[in-house]
Order: sequence, then structure tokens, then C-alpha cells
Amino acid sequence: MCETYDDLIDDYIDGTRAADHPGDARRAAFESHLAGCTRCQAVVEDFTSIRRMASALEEHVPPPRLWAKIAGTIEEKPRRISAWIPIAAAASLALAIAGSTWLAWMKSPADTLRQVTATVEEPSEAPAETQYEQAIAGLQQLADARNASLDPNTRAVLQRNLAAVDRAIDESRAALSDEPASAFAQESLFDALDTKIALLQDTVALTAEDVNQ
Amino acid sequence: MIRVFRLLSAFLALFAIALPAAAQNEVTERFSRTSHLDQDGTFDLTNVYGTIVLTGGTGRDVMIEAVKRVQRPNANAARALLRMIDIQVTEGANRIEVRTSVPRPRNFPGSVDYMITLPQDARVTVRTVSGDIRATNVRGELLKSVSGDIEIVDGSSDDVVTASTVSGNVSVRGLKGRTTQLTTVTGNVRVDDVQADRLAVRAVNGNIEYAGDLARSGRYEFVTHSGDIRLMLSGATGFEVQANSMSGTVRSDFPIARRSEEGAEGRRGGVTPRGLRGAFGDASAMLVLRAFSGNISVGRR
Repeated sequence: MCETYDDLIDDYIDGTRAADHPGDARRAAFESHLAGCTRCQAVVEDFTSIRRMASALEEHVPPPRLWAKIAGTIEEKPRRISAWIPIAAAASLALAIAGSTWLAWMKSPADTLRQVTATVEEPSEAPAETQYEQAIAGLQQLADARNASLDPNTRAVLQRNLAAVDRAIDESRAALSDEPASAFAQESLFDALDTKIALLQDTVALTAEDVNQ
Repeated sequence: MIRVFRLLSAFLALFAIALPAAAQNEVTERFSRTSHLDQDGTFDLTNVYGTIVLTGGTGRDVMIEAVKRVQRPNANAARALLRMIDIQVTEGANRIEVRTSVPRPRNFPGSVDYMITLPQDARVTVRTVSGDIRATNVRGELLKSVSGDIEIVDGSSDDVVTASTVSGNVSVRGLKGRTTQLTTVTGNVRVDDVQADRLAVRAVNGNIEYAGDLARSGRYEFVTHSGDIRLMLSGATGFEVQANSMSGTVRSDFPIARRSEEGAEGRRGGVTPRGLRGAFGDASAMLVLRAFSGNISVGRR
């Protein structure tokens, strides 16, 4: 008997009540049932305590210097880059666009989709790194918007690893700044940027998949 | 003052997590299902939390054994939560899909451990959020975890085999694959005695170790940012090598006919990539090794 109401427990914990849905007899029946059912009361209590514990965990916020650095990079003069690098970057960017657009198409509201594609859809003659940044910004926007749907542990793992990738990006940029013609530094930078795009795509995919529902 | 407050908050958070763990009741429930796959069928499994063990066999059956687990202080609540873990198996067109779903909230205190026996020629796709994946004698095409380790033992595939984890380690032994791609961000990668025409390994903070022979005409690309790259080769196959590290060392036990004494890029300005570019023997295999700050060594096994 109890199991027939399991699908309503989530909404109940979210604060939805039968009074908010006049005419929903099933919801009203569930609340009557809940008043006298110790099993359902225990489930509600357990979920509520889990939610309380989760909300007590520290919220990770990207450091301001990250945004300042991205803004500074976008305004930088184009660097000398090898001829093949924009091609490789364009290929990666196309993958990123395809991935994020597909995910957005599948799951996100129309305005979010428009925002993301507006950020990354128009090919330009900007330096490869700027194109990477545009792709990353689009994915980051999606990931940030949906991060709350991930469980705190998974979110922490992803953020810790994104921080590791950001360190790799910073170190590669510093090396490239010292030696702009270094193909090795350029490759290291694009390796790290590729990894960041892949990680953000994974993050967005995790928030969209039914696996977590 | 802020630092003290943060420390206090961290202790309180740890206390809150540790307290319920001290008096947990674990309830479990078994799930069992056997299905059939024809030659080259597809097996696709998605899990959230829990270990996945796959074993390839000679039969045509796919045997799915799973154990659902929930740990809570209140045994009745644990049993109720257990019933909310849903395993759905969908069969169709020589394809079996297994989906694991858990209800919100997202930090659900349960898991599902899977033990799968399946035809060794089955195409396998496994994705999980938190949990290890171990595949033995399986034609794995995609194994993906966020915070678990991935281990592949034996097995063969003519397709691309991809193993990807974010914070876990990747270990591959005895795999025969045409193209193999292994990635992790903060874990390590270890590869032993594989046969691959093309092997690409990428890490950011992790080490990469490879031990075994090289395939003639094989291409091996190992890239890490701050980890070390260590190859132990039998030397039976000659190879051309391009190895570079920005701030680490590059060393080879093999006599390499060098193309540049100063490294692949030579000395330039304040940045000195340390590199090695040259050939050993008939140079039939290709090694591309890049570590930004880690060390690179190519030794004899």
C-alpha cells in the first residue's frame, strides 16, 4: 500500500502540499495516509535529514581571480600560433558545440539553449585559445546552472578535478607567456583545455542523465 | 577569525557525517536476471553508486546478479529506501540495457553492486558515477566512472576501447585492442602487456606506467601534466621516440640515435624543454611522450 505513494514523497519533501493542488485526490490521500503510517513518516524524516545534512556542506564558489583571468585572456592580443593549432582547436570546438548543443536540446529550457549556442555557435577568426574559452564558458554556464542537481560528493570530486585542470592551464599559460613560440607549451595548454572541455561535458551529462533521477 | 570559523565549520560537517555512520543498519536485496545475447550483441549498463564486475565467458547468456544496499540508522527507513532503488532491464534487437535509478535527494544513501557474466564477444558500455569497474575477458568499448577505479584484464576488441575516470586509477593488463584510449584527471594509469596498434593515455596529475612490448607500426601517445611517465620495454621492437618535459628530466636506457642533443625544441630563452628525439632499432613503432613538470624514463624490462 505504502509503495503506491513513493512517487509523491519527493514532492512532499520539496514542500508541495495537497492544498496547493485542489482536486488532486491522490495527493490528499497520501497526506492522510502519512499521518498514520510510521513507515512513510520514517522515509520522510530520513530524506529530510539527508537534505539538511547536504545543505550544511560548504558551497564551492569559483575564485574571483578565475573570472578575472578569463576576462584578461579574452582581451589579450592574439598570440603567434602554429597553422595546425586553429584547425585542431576548431575540431575540438565543433565537438564541444555538438555535445553541449545536443545536451541542451535534450534537456534544457529553450532560453538556456539559446544562451549557450549564442555563446559558441558562430565561428570566428579569433585565436584558438579564445575559441576554447568561448566553448568552455558555454559549458560552464550549463554546468553551473545544473550543478545543484548533483550529489555533494560527486560535485566535490568534479570541482576538485576542475581545479587541478585549471592549475595545469595556468602553468601552461605561464610557460607560453615566457616563450610564445614554444610548441610544447602550446600543446600543453591545449591538452589542458581539451581536458577541461571533456570534464565540463561530463558534468553537464551527469546532470542531464536519467541515471541520477 | 574567518579561518577559525571555517575550521570549526569543517569539524562540525565531519562530525555530522561521522555520527550517523557510527550506528548504521545495512539492509540488502538481491536482484537476478538472465537474458540472451546473440553474436556481437550489445550490453549497456548504467549505475550510480556501487561496484561493477564484468566477466566474459563462452556462453550466450547474460547473467545479471546485483545486490542493492542501503545503510541508515533506522532499519525501517533503510528498508523503505531500498525499495526505491530500481533496476530496469530492457531487451531488444540483440541489445540489453540495464538502468539503475535512485530517487532524489541526490546523496542517496544506497548503492547497487553488480556482477555480470556475459558473452566475451558482446559490445559493452558501462557508465557509473561513483564506483569501481572491473572487466575481465570482456570486449569493453566504453567504461566510464567519475570517482571509481577502472581495471581491465585480458579481453580483445577490434573496436576502440575507451576507459575514462575522473579521480580514479586505470589499470589495463593483457588487453588485445586495435585502438585503446585511457584517461584520468587525478588518478594514475598502469598498462601491462597489452597489444594495441594505437594506445593513447592521458592524465593531468597522475603518473603513467607502461610495461611490455610495442607493436610494429604501433603508435603510443602518453601525456600527463604533473605526473611522471615510465616505460619498461622489452626492446624486441624498434621505435622512434619524441619525448619532452618542460621542467622534468628525460632519460632512456636504450641507445637512441638522437636528432637533437638539446631536445625536440632546443634551448630557447628562459624556458628549456628537456627532450629526446630519435630512434632505436628499426624505428617501427612510434612513441610520443609529454610531461609538463614530470619526469620521463624509458627503461628495459
